[in-house]
Amino acid sequence: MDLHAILIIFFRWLHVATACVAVGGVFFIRVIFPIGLRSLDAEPARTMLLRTRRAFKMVVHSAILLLLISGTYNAIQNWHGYTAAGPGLGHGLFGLHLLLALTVFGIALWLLTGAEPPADHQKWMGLNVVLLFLAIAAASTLKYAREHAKPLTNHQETATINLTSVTTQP
Amino acid sequence: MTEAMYNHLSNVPDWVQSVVLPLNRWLHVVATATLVGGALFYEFVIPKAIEDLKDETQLSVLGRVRWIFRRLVIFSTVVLCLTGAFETWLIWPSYTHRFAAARPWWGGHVIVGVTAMAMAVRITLGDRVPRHPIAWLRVSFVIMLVAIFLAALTRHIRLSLQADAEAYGDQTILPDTSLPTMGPWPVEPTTMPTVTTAPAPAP
Repeated sequence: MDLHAILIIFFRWLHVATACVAVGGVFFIRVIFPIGLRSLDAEPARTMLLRTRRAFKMVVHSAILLLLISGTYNAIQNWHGYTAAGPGLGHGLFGLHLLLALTVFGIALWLLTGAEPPADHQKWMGLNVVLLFLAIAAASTLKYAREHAKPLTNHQETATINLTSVTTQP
Repeated sequence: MTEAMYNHLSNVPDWVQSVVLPLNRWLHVVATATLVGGALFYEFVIPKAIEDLKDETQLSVLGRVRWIFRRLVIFSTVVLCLTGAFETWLIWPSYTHRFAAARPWWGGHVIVGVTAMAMAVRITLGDRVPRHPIAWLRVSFVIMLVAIFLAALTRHIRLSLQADAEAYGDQTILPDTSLPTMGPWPVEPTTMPTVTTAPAPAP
């Protein structure tokens, strides 16, 4: 196993693990955590929300950075696979995945800006959960399309070239 | 190399495969995300956020969060087991015969993943509400990350073996099992296809 293979595996792991942490964290903060706060009065609940938001902000900012780095590397590595997946299909799904991810990043960064969250932050966080699930769906479909594209490998291309040269000889 | 060598759904219409396979993978990833992210926040973020509250208030908050988190853990575990079993059944042909080198890593992913899920379920099913962060859930979180790493490694080895089979066909020289090896890594084939195996050109 060479360094290239190790890098491919590492960046894929980094992308999936970071996405799991980010998606699970957003889901936890939006769905589970508010239920825990119901037993508190308004003021302690708000204090807790702000404390959690500070920790959440560090997690989200780190996750965005890691997702951008690992996602860029993975996209460069798989670019030919996107092309081989079919006319428009591979790059279309990749574009959709990227667009959804960037939208989620933008909303998350906007929600976490400043000391106080926006008034309707729960609604936007809920939208982010849905968009994250859609981004994963686009990535899953893209992976399926890529794995079932059966592109020509370098060796097959070499064999095809050799065969062509034989058949075209007088 | 036919599709039948790689999965059990080769006779099912393409559109069914195009829906079922990504959906199964999506469910597996979403269940993993809710489990891993939930464990991280339940174990690392919430305790920090409530450390200034009174003890009884801490217990009240943790108890409520734990009540919901328990359901999430159980639901995610069931979904992971079902989707993982389906995926395994589906692509089992790609773990047999000439692709058997990927199987130990698949086994590692299953064992480590099941261990992490069992630990998370065991911890959250207990009757006692934890007053302090539970070290075992942290261990479980790390084991989940290891399971994800093993999944990435298994996939890479499996696809490498398939790419070799696609490229070389029956001319791939399989590893000599009588020789000691450093591990079940994909073995680079040592022969190249030649034009003599191709059909003769039309006159």
